[in-house]
Amino acid sequence: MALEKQNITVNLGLGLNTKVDPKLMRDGLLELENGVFTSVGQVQKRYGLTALGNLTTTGTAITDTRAIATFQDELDLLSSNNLYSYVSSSNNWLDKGNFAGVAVRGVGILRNANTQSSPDIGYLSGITVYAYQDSGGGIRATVVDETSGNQIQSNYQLSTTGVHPRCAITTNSILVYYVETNTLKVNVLSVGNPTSFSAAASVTANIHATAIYDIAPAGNNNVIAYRKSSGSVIVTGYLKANGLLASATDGYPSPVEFAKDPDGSIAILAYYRGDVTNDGLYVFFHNSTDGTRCIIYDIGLANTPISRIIDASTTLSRNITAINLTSSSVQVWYEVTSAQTYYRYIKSNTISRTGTVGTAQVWARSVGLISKAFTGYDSNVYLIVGHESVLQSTHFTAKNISTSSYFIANRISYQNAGGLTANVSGLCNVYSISTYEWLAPMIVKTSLNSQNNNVFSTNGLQKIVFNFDTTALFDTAQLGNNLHIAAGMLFDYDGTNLVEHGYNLYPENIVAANSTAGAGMTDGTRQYAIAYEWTDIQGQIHRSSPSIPTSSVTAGGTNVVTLTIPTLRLTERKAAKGDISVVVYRTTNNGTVFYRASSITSPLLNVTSQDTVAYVDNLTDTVIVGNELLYTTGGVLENIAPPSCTKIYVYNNRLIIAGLEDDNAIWYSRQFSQNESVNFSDLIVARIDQGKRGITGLVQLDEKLIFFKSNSIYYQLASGPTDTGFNNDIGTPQAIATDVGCVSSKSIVITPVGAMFKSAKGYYLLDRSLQVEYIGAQVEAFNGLTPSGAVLCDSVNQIRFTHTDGSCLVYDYYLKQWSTFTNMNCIASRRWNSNFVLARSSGVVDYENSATYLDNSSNIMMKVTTNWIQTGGIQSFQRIYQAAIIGQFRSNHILRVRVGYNFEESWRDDFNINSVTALGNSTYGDDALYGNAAYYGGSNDYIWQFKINNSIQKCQSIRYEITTVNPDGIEGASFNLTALSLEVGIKKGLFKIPKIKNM
Amino acid sequence: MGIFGDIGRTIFGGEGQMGLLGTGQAPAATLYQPEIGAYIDPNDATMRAQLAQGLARSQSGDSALGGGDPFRAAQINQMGALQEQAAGTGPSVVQDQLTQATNQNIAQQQGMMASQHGINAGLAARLGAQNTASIGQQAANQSAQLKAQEQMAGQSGLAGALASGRTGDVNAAGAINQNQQFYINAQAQQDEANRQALMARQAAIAGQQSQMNQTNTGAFQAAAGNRMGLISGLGSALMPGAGKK
Repeated sequence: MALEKQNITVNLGLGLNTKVDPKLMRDGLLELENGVFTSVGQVQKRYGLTALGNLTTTGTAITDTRAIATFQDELDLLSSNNLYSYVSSSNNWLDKGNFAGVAVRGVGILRNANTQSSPDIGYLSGITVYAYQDSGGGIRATVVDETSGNQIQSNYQLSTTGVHPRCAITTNSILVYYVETNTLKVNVLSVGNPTSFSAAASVTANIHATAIYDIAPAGNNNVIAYRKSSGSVIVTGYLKANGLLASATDGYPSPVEFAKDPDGSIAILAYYRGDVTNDGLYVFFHNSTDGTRCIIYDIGLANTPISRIIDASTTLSRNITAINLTSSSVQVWYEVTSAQTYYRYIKSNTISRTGTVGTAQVWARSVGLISKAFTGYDSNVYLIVGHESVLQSTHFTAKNISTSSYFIANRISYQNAGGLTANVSGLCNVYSISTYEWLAPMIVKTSLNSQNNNVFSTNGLQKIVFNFDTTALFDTAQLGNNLHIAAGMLFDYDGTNLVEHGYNLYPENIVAANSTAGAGMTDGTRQYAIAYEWTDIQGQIHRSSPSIPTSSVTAGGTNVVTLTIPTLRLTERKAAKGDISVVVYRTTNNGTVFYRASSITSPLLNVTSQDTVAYVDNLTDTVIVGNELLYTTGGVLENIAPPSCTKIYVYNNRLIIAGLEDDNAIWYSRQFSQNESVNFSDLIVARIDQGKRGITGLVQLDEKLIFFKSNSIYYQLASGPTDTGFNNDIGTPQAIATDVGCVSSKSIVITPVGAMFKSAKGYYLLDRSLQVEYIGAQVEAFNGLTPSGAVLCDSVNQIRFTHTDGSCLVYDYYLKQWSTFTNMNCIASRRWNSNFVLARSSGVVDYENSATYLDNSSNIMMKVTTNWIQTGGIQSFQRIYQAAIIGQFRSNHILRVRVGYNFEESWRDDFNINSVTALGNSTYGDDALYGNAAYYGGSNDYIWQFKINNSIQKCQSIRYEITTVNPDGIEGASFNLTALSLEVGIKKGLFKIPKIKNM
Repeated sequence: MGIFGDIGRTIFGGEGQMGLLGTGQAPAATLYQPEIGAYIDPNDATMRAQLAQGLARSQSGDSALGGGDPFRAAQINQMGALQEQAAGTGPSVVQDQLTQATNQNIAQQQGMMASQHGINAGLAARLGAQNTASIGQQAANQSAQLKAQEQMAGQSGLAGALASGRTGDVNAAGAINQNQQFYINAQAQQDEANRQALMARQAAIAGQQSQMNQTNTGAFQAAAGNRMGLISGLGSALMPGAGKK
């Protein structure tokens, strides 16, 4: 009996659904690529992409894009090292300045009643040994499993009398060296058995008691240089795998001596690559007679070394470090001492393998060396440097630019760092522990103590993890007339200048000297407060925290006060960007209100190449009382530059930052005021300590601020305090009941229905009633992709989630349907002047162009794959006589239809039809006006309807793939798809399964 | 012995004596002196000396509050202290208390900063330094105000002391004036008594003189007669013929 035929219709205007088992799925498409829903029930091809030029105004190609941002109407592109602004008229990019992107995270290692100092680390195979001196006496070590954070050994005492620990690694072990009087000792930790150290062994018994020595890797070995206890010589030699000094009997070159006393400091660097010409050992040291000197040995320590003076200055170079810039060139940095720690500075020079010395230059002022130089992920050379003062001991990550310049990449433990190295030659190692992460130890202040009228802090140990993954950085937000960039260091861009946000240090250690020479003030007690100020090109004033007031008591008649004010040497606000003004505020006699004393029209300018500037004050009280008041008058909180951050958001006219060094902390700026910069205070801070560590994203949902962690969500409703800190309603954010968090801030987007974000389980919606809904079930198959952007395209009711490694997921929030766009892998995406733009890692920036259906001349293939059509239920037996598709002609194209059967992965039928052949070669709209032609569409047939004769009629399931396969360069929207109709007959029983599969 | 010797004293009078010409003090009755509530004898030498001294003092404006007086010296010292206080150069109890309180405040706020929870060591140190500076300048301000108050108090005290001193001096001067008046009155009384005594004496003397004159006149006449007789007898003697006719 013939089957009863019936027609069924498959609506092609459906969305993608990858959640349901394809064998069961009924209400969705298996694939929907490059199609958008312009009207209900219809799918059409998306618009094409057009690339912006990728040359700079000087003709250099941009090949390294990490993010894009918008500032006012500008489109900005951020590479690893520069910010470029797009110039529409010339279709190229203007370089707006250099910067760096390094995130930093701090994790405590040891904080107890003792104080730790002189830390160093050795890292090997996931195990880190933190070695340090302890105020309780001797050397101690903590062994940490870096993956879990588990402390395998905690504060284990290696020596009761040792000083100056240094770490090194061999193939299987981490070595801890230290000095006991004249004996250099070593304890070995096998990473295969990290629960115990070996017993201490003597490396040499003739090291000088000053413990001046250094160890560096040389191939698979280590080399050492040390000050000998007698004879005023340097000993250089190799160390064996067990950490002991090697000799010829061990198959190594025997240690050699050089007749110079490294009485200041020492550093050793090896270049050991099997390069006969360039391999060598560089030993740098400071000698009180010669200054800073370098001796270069051949790798076998066989020949007379090259000896050169790097810097003849005999001022002590207390720390030295060097790195190979090239195979034959070394750059060296050395910390020059000063009576005041905050006036120490770093000089740099170069020396070639053949002994050619460059010119010694000041590299950075007001800081000393903390770490050895290291090469980051971006191949730039970095150093951790430190500023030490009573109130602002801080570490910085400095990117090397040249022997006379650097760039501050971020600020570490502002005002809480442990100061400069306790020992000479006390620089710590920095290790790469993953693709993007580098690890260093750091001494930090743990608490402020007051006892017997002495105020002091105890120091502890923490680890600092640098993250060079700039794809996770460069979150941006505009508030006021600045674009704020979270690049580790928070940067401000005013349309012309790119500078650090706030001030790395505020004025400290101002000295006031009184004299009675000349007319001036009456006798009395006055205070001075100094602030750094800088005005951006938008007219916004950026002010530092004022200095702690310095009192001046004048007596003896007419008085003049001369202030010696430390400059801000660590800043990008200089030269063409405009120098910082050093602004002096003063009270009247016995007054408590600070009035501006220094000139507005002829300001005292900051000079980064000097340690101080002088200001002479002879103004009478009556002269200044009409002047501007210090901005903190009335209790306004002082401006403190925020810590390193990776997340940034604007809420209630405040800038909110997260992803800080303390990754559970959140900083809030003061409310933005016109003509002022955005200003932070370290007194407006909140924390979310519950849940996993780290804030992964922020978004404002109605009046609430939402905080995401990787596994939890919190909200806060706060206006924040006044400028004086009163009425602070910023409390601890409240948790939302959910089992998801957000894995990437780049996936967060605010929509008319709530905030969408990507969790570890896919895309979710946090609606406006704070209910969490799994909205991304239909695209669950794409959960493995890495988000690079989330953009609301309101004109088409779409939210586009781009990824670095796969398709763009498109959610139509009107139809609640998903589709995908191919060819949109990108490093970043966003809206710019109503355009959807995306940036490729290659440096190309594309924008969606409604005037084309080509992606930069490449055809866009719209693809629709139906579900497995099973008219009688799953595994039922059916007969598909034929099918027909209907849609709308848009432009000439080649239609391709493939047919698959019975849940097979492969396609059995593959049909192509050229619209020119089938419908005529005119493009849509080229015909005569409606009514003028013989029939609608003119002489051509524009009824886009095709019959599909499938080769297999009897099957249990059938599916269709409908695509456009236009050759590249053929412009046009091709067609819109509406529906697929099938003529079917349902047979009785189940689909016949081959006997071999019968059981 | 003067040219007149006892003869002169006898003639002009002297201490305790009227003298023949009545210029000396005549013995008189005792006078009531209200300052001491007693009668004094104006002719008492001691009393006279005291009166003279008192009069001299009252006339010179000096009083019992003079520099040589211990009370006066103490008062001057106190005035000096008040002057220093008024000038702001003297010791200041309030200043010392303020300094002590300030130091205590600074120490306490250091302790408070060290006790703060939820802020890091660096922030605590900065806030502590700010507070210390603020406390210092506020202390300077308070010190200046207190100093000004102290100066004002010193000036007020000095003014009061000066005023009361002046009042005392004025009162003393009034007493002196009274003394002086007393002395003057006493003197006048003495003088009047002396004058009356002198007049009485003169009257007596005049009576005596009159009597003497009468006596003398008779005597003179007698003597003149005698003298004339003598002269006449002498001339007659010298000119025996002039006497003889």
